[in-house]
Amino acid sequence: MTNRFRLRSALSAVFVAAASLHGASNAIASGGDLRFDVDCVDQVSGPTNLRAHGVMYIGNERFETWAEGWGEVTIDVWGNVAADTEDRFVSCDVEWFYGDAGSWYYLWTDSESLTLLGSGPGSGTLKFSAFIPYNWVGNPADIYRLFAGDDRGFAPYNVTSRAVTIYDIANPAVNDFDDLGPPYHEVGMTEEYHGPTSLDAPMPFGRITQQARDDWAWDPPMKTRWGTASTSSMACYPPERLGPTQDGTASENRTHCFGSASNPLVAGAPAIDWDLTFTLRWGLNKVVYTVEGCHDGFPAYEAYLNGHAMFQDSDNGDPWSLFPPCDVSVNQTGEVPK
Amino acid sequence: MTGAAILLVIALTPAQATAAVERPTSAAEMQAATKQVKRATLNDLASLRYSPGATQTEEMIATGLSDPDADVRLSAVYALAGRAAVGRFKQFKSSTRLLSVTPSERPLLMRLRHRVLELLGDPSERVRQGAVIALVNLEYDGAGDYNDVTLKPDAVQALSRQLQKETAPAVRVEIVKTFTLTSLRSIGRDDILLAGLRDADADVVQFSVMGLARSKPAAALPVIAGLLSHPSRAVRMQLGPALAGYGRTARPFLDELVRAAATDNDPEVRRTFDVAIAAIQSSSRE
Repeated sequence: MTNRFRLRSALSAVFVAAASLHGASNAIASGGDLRFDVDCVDQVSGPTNLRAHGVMYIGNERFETWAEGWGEVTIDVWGNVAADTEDRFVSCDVEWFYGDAGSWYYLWTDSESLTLLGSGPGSGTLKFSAFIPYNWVGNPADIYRLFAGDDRGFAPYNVTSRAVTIYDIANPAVNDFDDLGPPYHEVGMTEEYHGPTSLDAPMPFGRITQQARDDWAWDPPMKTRWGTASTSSMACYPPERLGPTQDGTASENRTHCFGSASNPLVAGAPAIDWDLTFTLRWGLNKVVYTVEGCHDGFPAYEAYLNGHAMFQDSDNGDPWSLFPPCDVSVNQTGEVPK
Repeated sequence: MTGAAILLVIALTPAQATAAVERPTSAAEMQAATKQVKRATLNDLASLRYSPGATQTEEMIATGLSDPDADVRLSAVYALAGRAAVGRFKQFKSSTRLLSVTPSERPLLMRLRHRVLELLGDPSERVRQGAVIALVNLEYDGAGDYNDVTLKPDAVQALSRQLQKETAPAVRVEIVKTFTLTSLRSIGRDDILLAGLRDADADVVQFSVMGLARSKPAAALPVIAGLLSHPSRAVRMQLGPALAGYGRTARPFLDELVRAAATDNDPEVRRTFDVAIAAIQSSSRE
């Protein structure tokens, strides 16, 4: 630096400004409805001609600006980028020059950097299940008959359920599409057993024996009947895009899943019911979820996003609570890291 | 230089209030109540958490069944189903809540049967499905097995009529399931299930096979045997026991069954076919 200049002030900043909304149909290279404005601002004062050359990298995207003036010069290097699932390194370098006798002479370089956080995973697998935690449950109409349960605790993977919905939801911040395919619905086969010949201990104790499970002839002894409930009442609406959040850091979407499935071996059996709305906010390397709605009090219900529990509701032990439709409220909020 | 931090504020929605509501105790109070109170009351009636007198119960359910709001009607049909099921699901007889339902209630509930038949044609699909469930539980006369429900002629007629024009798969399946599992004495039952064997909906086919396996009409045998390569596993899982039930009469279809047992890609389906083959061969030797 020469003493020909006296800098009155030097103020620099890099900041991420508001996001802009692009509609789902607005096909841009990296997709999604979330974009970031990134500004790198630097200012120098001095009693001479000043010139600034700013270069900013956001990930591998380059933005460049020049500024020039006498006395006080402000440079604003501005970049607009689409949201990405990965963190991106943002660097800004501003080179300052002073002019003298028709030539420019280098003064110094201001540098700053930050990390532009990723907008969460590219997609989220939403899994909702209703299951009977017990090895078996009694047939409410016949003390000698029982139904096999799922015999498990809460678990996101490799388990059986009475009813399950799996839906791969796209991150709206980074994708032009809303899901990775239609929702998948399945029900577990219902198996009825003759209690006295199917358990390894007298009712109401014991567990269903392997021999009974391997029995594929109708009527007693052991397994008596089987059937599969209909999935025709199970559905999820395609995710609705809610756009970027007010603070511009994330993008939201919402899907509504509902359904019912009843025991296929009991006429007039009330169904297990659920009606749940999942609102997902994708940004800052996580997904913030809100689950609102209802399900029956029996059996147990669970919902996961990418394997992380959103709610796990135990059954109330009362199959009669299947009669009132969807009488247990759900209202859960939390976050799932990327 | 200053890098501005990005702040995220998570808006936590307060948990939904689940404060107990004051329940109506009469039809008039029910009619004047809000939707939320109506539904909560009917849901409590359905689960037997609330058992006022028999007359009040019948009146409040009747009010709910005629409510202009489909959600209230839905809760009402399930309240009726839940109360009517008390005599059917005997295993819970020791339950305090079941004991709170007086024997005088059922005859009063039966007065709502005509309204349930009307609700089979309700604009709401879920109400129609609930009406089928309520009807089954109302038709149970308390004499036999829990599935031994003989549908009265007007119920058969109403269900058949609704099945012919019904477009909602869930309701169609519920109606066919009703004919499948209830008494073999219900008039026209087998004809409805025979038609169901040719239905495009695999759930309807599954229940039709299951139901015809109980009554074993001769006309169903070749059609059931013709389903051995049906794409639905649920359907194929029913075929083995259904054919086995026909015994030696199913002998002409044994070759097809053997072929299916060798080629089906599902091990459990193959197992049911193997069991059926053994049963048919055994009955042929008798």
